[in-house]
Amino acid sequence: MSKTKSNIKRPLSYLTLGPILFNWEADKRRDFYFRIADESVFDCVYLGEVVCSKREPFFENDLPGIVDRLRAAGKSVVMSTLALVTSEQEMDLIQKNVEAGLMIEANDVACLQVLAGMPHIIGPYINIFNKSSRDFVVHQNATRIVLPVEMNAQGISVVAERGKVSEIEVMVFGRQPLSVAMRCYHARSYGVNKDSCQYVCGFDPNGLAAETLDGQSILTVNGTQTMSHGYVVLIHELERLLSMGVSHFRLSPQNIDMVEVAYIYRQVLDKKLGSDEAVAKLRCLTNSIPYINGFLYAREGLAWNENHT
Amino acid sequence: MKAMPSVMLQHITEVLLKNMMHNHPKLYHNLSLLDPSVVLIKPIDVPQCFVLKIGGGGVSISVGDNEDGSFHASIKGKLSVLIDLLEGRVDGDMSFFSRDLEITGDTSVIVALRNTLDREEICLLNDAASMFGPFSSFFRQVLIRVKDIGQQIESHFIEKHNYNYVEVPNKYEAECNFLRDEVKMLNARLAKIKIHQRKRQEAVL
Amino acid sequence: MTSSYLELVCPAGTLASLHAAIDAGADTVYCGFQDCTNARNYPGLNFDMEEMVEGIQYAHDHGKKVLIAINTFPRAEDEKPWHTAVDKAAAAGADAVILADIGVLNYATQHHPNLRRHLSVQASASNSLSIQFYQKNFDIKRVVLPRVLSITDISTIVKDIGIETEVFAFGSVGPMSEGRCFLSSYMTGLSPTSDGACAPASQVTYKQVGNCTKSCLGNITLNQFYKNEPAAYPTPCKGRYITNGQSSYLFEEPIGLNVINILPLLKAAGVTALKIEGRQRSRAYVSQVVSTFRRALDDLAKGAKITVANDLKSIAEGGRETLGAYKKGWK
Repeated sequence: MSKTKSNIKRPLSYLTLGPILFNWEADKRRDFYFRIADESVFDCVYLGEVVCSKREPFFENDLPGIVDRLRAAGKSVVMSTLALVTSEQEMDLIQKNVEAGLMIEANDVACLQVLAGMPHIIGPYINIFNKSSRDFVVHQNATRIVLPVEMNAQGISVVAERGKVSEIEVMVFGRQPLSVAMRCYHARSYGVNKDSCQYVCGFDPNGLAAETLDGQSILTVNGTQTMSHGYVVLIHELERLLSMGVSHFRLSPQNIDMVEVAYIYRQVLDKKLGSDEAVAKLRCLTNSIPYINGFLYAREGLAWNENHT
Repeated sequence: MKAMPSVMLQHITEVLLKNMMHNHPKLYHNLSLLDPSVVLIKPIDVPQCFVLKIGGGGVSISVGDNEDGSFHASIKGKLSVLIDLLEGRVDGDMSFFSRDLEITGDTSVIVALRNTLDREEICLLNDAASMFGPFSSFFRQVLIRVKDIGQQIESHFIEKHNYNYVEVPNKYEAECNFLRDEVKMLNARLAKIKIHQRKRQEAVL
Repeated sequence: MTSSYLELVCPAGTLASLHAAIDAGADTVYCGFQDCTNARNYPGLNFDMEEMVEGIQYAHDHGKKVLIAINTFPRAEDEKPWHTAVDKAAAAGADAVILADIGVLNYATQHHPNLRRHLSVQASASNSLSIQFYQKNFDIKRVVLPRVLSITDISTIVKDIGIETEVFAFGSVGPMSEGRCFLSSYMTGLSPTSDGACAPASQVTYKQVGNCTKSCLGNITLNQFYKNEPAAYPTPCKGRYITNGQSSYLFEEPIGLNVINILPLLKAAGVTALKIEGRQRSRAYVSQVVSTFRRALDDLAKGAKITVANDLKSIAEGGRETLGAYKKGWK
């Protein structure tokens, strides 16, 4: 008897909510996460501060409550770390989070030294671009690798090879983080410096737009981080990524209805909604922000490849 | 200074290039291996310009009277700067930062040319002198003497010029620095005021 | 190892520059092969195997060292060029390799255990814990510290890690965390991480617009210079951008790092070596910078004050100098 399509097992796909990269006030964060817990279809939620340790004290007290609410809703929780660790206090925080027994997303190699073989997730700020690096971190008990945003399809298909690592995650929605620094460009844009920044990054919940001298919107400033202007949108490519071995699909939170965004992506993954229709629905939620997908196609990141092949 | 007729300059340039390539075979080989490109070299203090063709298996140079024609990249600057660059006496990037050199067009062509030239120790003096065959060493001495005289005239002129102006920059430099710091401090204060204003506005909303 | 005040590590983009650096007084030079395995993969630059062997011989004859940079991140599709580069470096007799990728570090550790391994700035190891990770797993003997640390940060790290440290002393300043900056590939498709090229010249154009020169990267306008305004490298981080309605050098001014006035502070912080940036610069640059630093270091070694004038301003990017992150308030 020939194998029918329904006999071939479709790999499981998980939707994850990346860590909030912007400086949202504590109340806004808490309300956001409670709604994610109660109403969204996310499977896994990343918490924690990735960009600037100065922001941490404002919301850290709310974290235990948020963790409980998310877990009660059946969502798994991961604590993301800072991407650029330089101070003693920042290193102590990593130690504290590891000791608290949470699953850690390591964004600076400092974490790997602290984790010392405990199961963990490798975040997109640690460069895993090839098989050898992948195998090394898997050997050190990395159970999931979130690939760098710059990786193209060919690279992803090699690294995501089934059976080599439990889980592979790719960012499929949101402003792509392009660089991180010590200097705060947000503060610079407002005429102050990092030490006396007045938390001006709080003025821009979706990041601060940076244009070229010609007036072309090109980048987004978010504290010490620089991001793309456009949102990466890999809806047309979800099926292809799944077949390559990608198991987890990250939606990076923007200041829009992320519950609805998640629903759209879930429907496409479940084959209940076509890609073109999904993108059209998404556009209603994202105002006039352009979509980009250049990195996946080994092109300049800000490009939008209409072809999707 | 009376300009040299183009025909004569063309002839001298061709012979000079031929000698250079003969004295530096590896340079010729490396230049001919680059992607075929046409580079316009325009000394701003000489009426003519030079069109250098590299890559695609060969190297050639021609003299033109104007900048018309198509080329992949152009490099402009004083003749002395261009020669210093060729002989490795100045750093090309520095000349670019200080705007002594202007580059337009495909920068990769200029970078490839610059890097390839920089691998070689070129002395135009030697290459020029060797044009005269058995009389090379005599003409080398003549050219050195001519160059020395030229440099003496130039430094005498600069000294004379500086003598008239040396006081003026110092007089205003300190004041400029003071004003710059003042402006910086005022900008910082203004920035803080604007931020406070905005925070108050947003609290009200 | 020389017993000089601080080891002077100098760039060599070509064999001619290597000679210039050694002759000008470098203790060590660093260079790369002619491919994408190093982070200065520019046309006409770098060494073939013959030149590398010759260069290493020249250096060793003069009692100096050569480090080979293999510090980009291999593509998933083909890691072989990086493994071959490490093999070649060992065969050529290099004194150390400068690596960043975890896979390449692992390969070098397994296949060439006796080949000294230095950690590149591209690994962005900005704290003691991450340096200890590389030490534990790959036995790195020296770390090139990212250009984001203050002198206080550096002396804390030196005390914690117990291995050699190398810090940038002169040259262009990249304000982003190295090795994970995707600004160039966002605008051009070519990246310093795996192509070894940040804002490669093939993507750069200059146009005359009225009495201004406009610099463009791909289709993106990076900057506009008036006639006498100093220029900068056409990299995304040195461009002018408009935020909050005002145009500025958002990320970094066109400026070059120069620590010549704080050498004793770096020595006191426990730093082993000074790194001069600029493999893409000319022989003239190398000679001038290396000889100036050589004289300064020799003066300090004798216990004397520095007698050489700091005449390096004009050669710096933008014709201006900074102490960068070494100075408080840079952030």
